[in-house]
Amino acid sequence: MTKGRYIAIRAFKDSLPILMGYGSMGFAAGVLIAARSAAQTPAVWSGLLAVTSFSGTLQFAITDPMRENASLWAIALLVLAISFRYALYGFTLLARLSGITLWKKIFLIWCLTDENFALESAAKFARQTDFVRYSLTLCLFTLTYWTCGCTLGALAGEKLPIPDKGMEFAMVALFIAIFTDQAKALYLGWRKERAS
Amino acid sequence: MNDTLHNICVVLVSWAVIFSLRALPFIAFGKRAADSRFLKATEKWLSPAIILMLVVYSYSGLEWRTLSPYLAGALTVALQLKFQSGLVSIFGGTALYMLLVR
Repeated sequence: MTKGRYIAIRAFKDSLPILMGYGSMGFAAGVLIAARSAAQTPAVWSGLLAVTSFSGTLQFAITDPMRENASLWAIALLVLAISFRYALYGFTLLARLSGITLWKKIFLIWCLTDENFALESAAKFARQTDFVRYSLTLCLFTLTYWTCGCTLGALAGEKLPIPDKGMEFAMVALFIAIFTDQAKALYLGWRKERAS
Repeated sequence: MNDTLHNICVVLVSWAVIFSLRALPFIAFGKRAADSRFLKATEKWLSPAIILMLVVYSYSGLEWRTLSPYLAGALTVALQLKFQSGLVSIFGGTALYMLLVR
């Protein structure tokens, strides 16, 4: 197996827990839009929002303002408030993405969600090209999961069977697992420093 | 304003705000960043700090007044420390949470 394929497969494996999280959350968000929106084609709006903004908090928070024809300034402020954390993520990736092809950079920035960021910042690759290949594959998969989840949820609309309760914990567990690894690495590094 | 037009504008405004926020560090720092010692030093701490913040933040979306998410969280940490595998710890923690909140 070539190295490139190995990296792509690893990215796919890492994306599986996100499939659970994005699949169920996107579906729920889609159902919400379908139930509350006045639009005749909620699945189109749900899918468009998903593929452009690619943000769970946005997808849930935008439902009511969208229906109520809220002013665009009010919407911009709302989005700014709930999404401000995204501005922090790029800082830790600056060095690792410097000098790469522009469209790749734009796509990775486009896809800088909580979960993608978490996996990317935890990924260890010696070569930048490997890291970029890993991240691009990961983002392509997760963007697809999210968009499909949001679109299908809206299509299912009101006829939905109740989503599996508690499934949303998968997302939290992903953060916890990553934090555990990072905290462990920091602790081991600190102990090593103290010993020497 | 017509509904379709309004919805198109909502999609565009959301996308523009979110993409700008995500791109902000890249625009503000650009090339200097690659060899910034400050950023390398902060990367070590900033990334775990943000993730921890996300954990705390995401608990607000759970039934955080009950014991369930904390038990499931503890199991996730334990499994992760023991098996070093995201799939094991995430599925294990989620399964426990789903059992508890049912």
